[in-house]
Amino acid sequence: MNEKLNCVLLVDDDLITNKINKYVIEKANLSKQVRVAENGEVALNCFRNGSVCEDQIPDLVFLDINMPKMNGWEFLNEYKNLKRDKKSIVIMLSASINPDDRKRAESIDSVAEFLEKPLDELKIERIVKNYFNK
Amino acid sequence: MEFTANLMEQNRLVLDLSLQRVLDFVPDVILIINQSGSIVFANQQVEALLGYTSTELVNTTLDVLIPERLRDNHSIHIQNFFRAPEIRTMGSGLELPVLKKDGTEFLSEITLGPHKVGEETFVTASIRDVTERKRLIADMTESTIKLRSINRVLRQYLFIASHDFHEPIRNVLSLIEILQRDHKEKLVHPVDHYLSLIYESSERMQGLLRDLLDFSKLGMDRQVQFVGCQRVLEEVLIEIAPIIEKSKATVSYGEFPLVFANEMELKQLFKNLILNAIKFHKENEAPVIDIRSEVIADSYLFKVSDNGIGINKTYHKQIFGLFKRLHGKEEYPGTGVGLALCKKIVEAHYGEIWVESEENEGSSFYFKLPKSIVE
Repeated sequence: MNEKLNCVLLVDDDLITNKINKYVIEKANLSKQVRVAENGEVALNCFRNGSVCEDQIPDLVFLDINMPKMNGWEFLNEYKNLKRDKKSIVIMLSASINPDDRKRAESIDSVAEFLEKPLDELKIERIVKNYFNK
Repeated sequence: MEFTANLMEQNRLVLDLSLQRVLDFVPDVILIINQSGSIVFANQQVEALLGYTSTELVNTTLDVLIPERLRDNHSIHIQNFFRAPEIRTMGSGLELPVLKKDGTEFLSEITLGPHKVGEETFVTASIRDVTERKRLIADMTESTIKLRSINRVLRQYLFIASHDFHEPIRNVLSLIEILQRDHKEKLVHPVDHYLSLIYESSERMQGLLRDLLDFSKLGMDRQVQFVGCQRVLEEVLIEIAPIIEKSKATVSYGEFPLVFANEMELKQLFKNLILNAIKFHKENEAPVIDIRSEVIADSYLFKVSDNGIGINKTYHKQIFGLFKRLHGKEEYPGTGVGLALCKKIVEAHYGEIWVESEENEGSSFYFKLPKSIVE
């Protein structure tokens, strides 16, 4: 990758997971900013009022499934109706072992892929290669 | 000729007399009714089931056994039956309440069958008390519904638990990895040592959880089809090739049938048995494993034998229990789920699994799968 991403958004209610993922992303030099939304609703508001990354849309979103208030599926349902100038790559990052979850994720257009936790350097390398290597 | 005719006549008499006795032995009430609706025969069971003696019933009409509110309908029904007896299916069951002598009722299943004697048509009615059967069916239906709902809840619980339990343990592992990789210089003795112990413990917890989930998931959304055991076995051997190589194990196998099974489960079964055979090898002897199958009556018998440490007879049953382990974790690692999983898989295929072994004499694990499964 030639350039760092501008902004990555982590949508997960587990604070320690977020901390670890933030560390892994920073260590991999993936992005200038890493922002956190602790559930789907907070993430959605970030998109709606453009407050995610200083008025910019995040390049990459890691989305958990099970979250209070608004879970990953509910978020995606609202997300697809948002008016956006730029598309973000949305990757579902979940601990779910339920094969139905993977199938469901794969059937949603706005989801780029379904990854199993934990996020690590290898997965980041692959993401960069697949989505950001211009 | 005359002699034969005599003998036939004699036999017929014996038969007639015997039939009366037979009818009395039958556990149902049996009535024979003539065209005008009168009872011409009642077996002895009427006493136990209806409270009447057979003499009391003979020459009365069937109406005495019909609750008043149903009498009109019923007589129509019997008349219809006489009008076109051959059209009605013989032995078709009707469920109707029957009135006993003491005025109480019970639900019965009535089977009607017409027959002709000379020109006259008679109807045999067999009346069976189905109160208990109805109650049992209702109970069973209720229990089944309850069990289904419990199963559904358990299943949801399982998937949610898998998510929620995994997360904190994985976090512990990730954090320790960060410390060990990026802050190594700060991990002075004995901190580094304790940290690796925490890591090992968490890893073990993760393994237990994963195996437990595998065990509980088994049997959900099962699809069965004809599966070639040979292919499944060869796929397993490829999958575990690095382990086989590392242990210097020799694996030989014969020819295998097609079985009606869930492929994933069959794979897991072979894999667990082979991995066990490798794991429990003798200290200075490379594992030698042989896998065979043969047809025994209407089953396929499979045998996975090894030259390993063997199993004392005392434990031959216990080893298939969940979380059952015979060795220290340092000696032989594992969670104690492997064979329990094998047992569950074999039983889900209506088969059996067992072991034949002596201590220090190797082990042979057998499992038997029926040739055809009626689901």
